[in-house]
Order: sequence, then C-alpha cells, then structure tokens
Amino acid sequence: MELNEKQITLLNKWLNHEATEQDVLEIKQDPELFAYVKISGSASHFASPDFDREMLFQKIHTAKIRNQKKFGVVKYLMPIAAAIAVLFAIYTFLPQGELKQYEVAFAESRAITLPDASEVLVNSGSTLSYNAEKWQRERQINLNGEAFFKVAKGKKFTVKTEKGDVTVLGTQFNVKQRAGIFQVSCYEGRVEVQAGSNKVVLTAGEFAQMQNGQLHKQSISVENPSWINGESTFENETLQEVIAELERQYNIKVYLDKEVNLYETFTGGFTNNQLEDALKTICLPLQLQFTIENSERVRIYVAP
Amino acid sequence: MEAKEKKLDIINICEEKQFKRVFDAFVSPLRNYIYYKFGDAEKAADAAQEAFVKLWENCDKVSPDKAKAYLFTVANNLSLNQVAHQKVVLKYEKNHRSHAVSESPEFQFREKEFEAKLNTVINNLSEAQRTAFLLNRIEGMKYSEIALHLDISVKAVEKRIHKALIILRKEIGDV
Repeated sequence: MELNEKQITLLNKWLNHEATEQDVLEIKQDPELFAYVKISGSASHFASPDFDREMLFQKIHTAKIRNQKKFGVVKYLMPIAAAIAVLFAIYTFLPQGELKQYEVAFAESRAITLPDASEVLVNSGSTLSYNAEKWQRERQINLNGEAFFKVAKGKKFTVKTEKGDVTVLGTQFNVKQRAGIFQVSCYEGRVEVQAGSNKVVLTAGEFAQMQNGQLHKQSISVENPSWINGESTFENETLQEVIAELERQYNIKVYLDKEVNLYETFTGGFTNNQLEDALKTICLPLQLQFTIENSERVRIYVAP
Repeated sequence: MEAKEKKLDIINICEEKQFKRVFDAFVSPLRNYIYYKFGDAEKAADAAQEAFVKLWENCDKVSPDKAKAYLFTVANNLSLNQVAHQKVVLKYEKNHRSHAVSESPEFQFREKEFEAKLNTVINNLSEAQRTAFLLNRIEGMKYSEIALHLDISVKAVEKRIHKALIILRKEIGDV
C-alpha cells in the first residue's frame, strides 16, 4: 500500500531519530504507518557478525611500520599549551637556511609536527612557515590564516601574523588572521598578544579580538575551536566573513545578489562536511535562499 | 548501535594514540558497511584494513573532522570492482540497548521466525537498498550522513530505504 506524503514525512522523521512524542502518538494511531515502524524497529535490533578488532588493528600497525614515512611518525606529546594562529606553508625547501613552508588549500586542513614535537593544525586557506635550522635557538612561526597550536613546554614560542604577534611559553591556543579579522583564543596556559601598540595577556578561556584598532578581551564559550571538530562557528560576525569561511571550507565561489546585506551579523555555526546543510544554517535565519549551481558555484539571494 | 554525535577532539591523526582513537571510533561502521554490501566478512575486514592504512599514509593531509568520510570513500573505491555477493547474515541482538522515547513501539513477535525471514528478505534487496537501509537501521546513521558517505543525494537515500521497506513489508507481512 502506498504511503501518502504526510505518512512518508513522519516515517522519515522516525527513521532519522527525529520524531517527537507527538509524532510517535500519530504513528501509533495509523496502522499502516505503524506496521512500517514496527518492521524498521525490529530491523535495528540486528547486528552483523562480530569481528576481531584487535587483530585488525595489529595488521594495520604492521602495514604502518612497513610503509613508515619520515614525517608521519609523531613522538608522544609533552604537556602542551596554547594554540596559535595558523599560517600557510608550502612544503618546499627554500635556499634561505632551512625555511619550511606549508600551504593549505581550500577544503583541506593539515597537521604539522614541529621539531620540538609541538603540533599545529592548519585550517583551510592558510600558509605557515618557520626556520627549522634556527628552531633550537628560537621558536618562531609565520602565519597567514588560521591554526590551532599545541605548544610543547620550552623556550618562548612566537607566532607572527600580518596583524599582530602572539607569544607563549607552552599552551593551547588558536590564532585566526583573515581579511577582516585578527583573533587569538587561549585554551590553556598564558598567551601574550601584541598588535601595534596594543598588548593583551590571555589566560585559559579568554580570547582577544581586534575591533576598531583595539584589542578586546572576552571569554570563550566553546572548549576547542569548533573547526577542529568539523564546524565553523561565529559570534556576531558579518555575513561577508561567514561566506568567506564557507568558500574556504568547501573550495567554492559564492555569488551574492546585490540586495544581500553583507554587513548583517551572524551568530551560529555551519558544518564543514555537508554543503547543503551549511547553506541552510546560514541562509535560514537571514531570510536568504540559495542555489547550488554546480560543484564550484553557489548563488545566494534574498527570499522573495 | 546508535551513531553518537560525539566530538572526537582529534588534532593530529599522525599521532599514535589519536590514530587509535579514530580507529576505535570508525572501524565498526566502516567494516559493517562493506559487510552489508557484499556479505563477505573477510573482504569487509580487508577493506577496512586497507582504508585505515591509506588514512595513515595520508594522515597529515586529512582533516580529523573529515576522517570518517575519507575512510568510507576509500573503502568504497577499493570495493568498486567486486561483483561477487555472499549472503549477509544478521543476528538478532538479545540484549538490545534502550531506545529514546521516539523509538519505543512495543510489539510481540516470534523471534526466530522473524530473524530468518528478515535475513532472507534483506539478502533479496538490491545492494543499494540493503546498504542504505542497514546503515540507517543498524549503524544508526542519519540520511545526510549516509548521503555523504555513499556520495549520493539525501533524496536518493530516502528512495532506497523506502523501496527496501516496501519490499520488507510485502515479504514479512504483519509483525
């Protein structure tokens, strides 16, 4: 027997674990729908045959050792501190000493281990570089973009960006320097941020943001920068910046109709894994609509 | 097993401990996905193994939040040229986990009979229907996640699951 649209919608909600108590009551009153739900319900009580996870992991481990790459093996982390801005770095060797550069393209992110076992996770559309030879004497990173740092305890660790510098001794922190933004968040330890004549010291749970030429201190609400977990979040950011991040995460170009207000502020987040969902989360609250024209082009316009 | 929206908090897949955490989190749904496709437990384990090895080889290029999608894509690609399909055998879990309120219709049925019938019908579904259906029902994946991993639209996922349900309803009748 064919289900009508309303029944299908309810069934989908139930299958997706999104049905409310009210929905369940409606389902129970519809014998046809209930029959489908009963079958689906019992199907979910089944399991595939068990398998030996341990053995599987051992096999992977053996293969890992066989194909060991030079930079793939990471030492155990020492207690780490702050995350710093991410820079793009292109992975080539330049003649000026041992300058390592990394360039992270759009829709990508990259994990880098520094010579002292500090770790950096670089976000889409960023470049990072540092001088490996001088690393013993001085830990200095150049960043353009966004990165999250876990710095091993040791000598002073500095991240330089176009808009300001960040200095730490050993912490976890995130640095974001994009076209309209300079933002440093401290998750652990102490971080000193300097931008022009502005100097601010951050402790765990605080972040500093450049606003009208001044560095403002605020408290952080999210535990780790959300982009590490696949979500980009914003607090009162302009639509322009939100779209810019969307373009970076998905490697697409967004075309906005001229009625769209780029300076409207947006607080919320979008997933980095599903373009349609991401666009919905951005457009809905701002009464906008979108069309995905192809894998590289999206159009956003004001809802009629 | 319900798919939890848990945050893994992985920074670097290249680090041993973190790689193990990624493995622990995704090996089951990954291996099960290939099992639901082909019904061959050995092939499923091999595919999962190869996918994780590839992940390790590219550990510095894969973002932690995209690791699951990467694993599924690799496993998918590795199994593209396999045609043979063995019987998918599912067992009924005696101690099933408790459900959220929206999933608690209580009903009686004869377990063994139902078990056998379900196994037969599931194996008669097309690979596409069976995979989408079992990923949603047993692995607890939402439509959007299935769409992401199988590289199809959400609408396509809906259609496959519905077709599967219509066939199941027809073959099994009332429970």
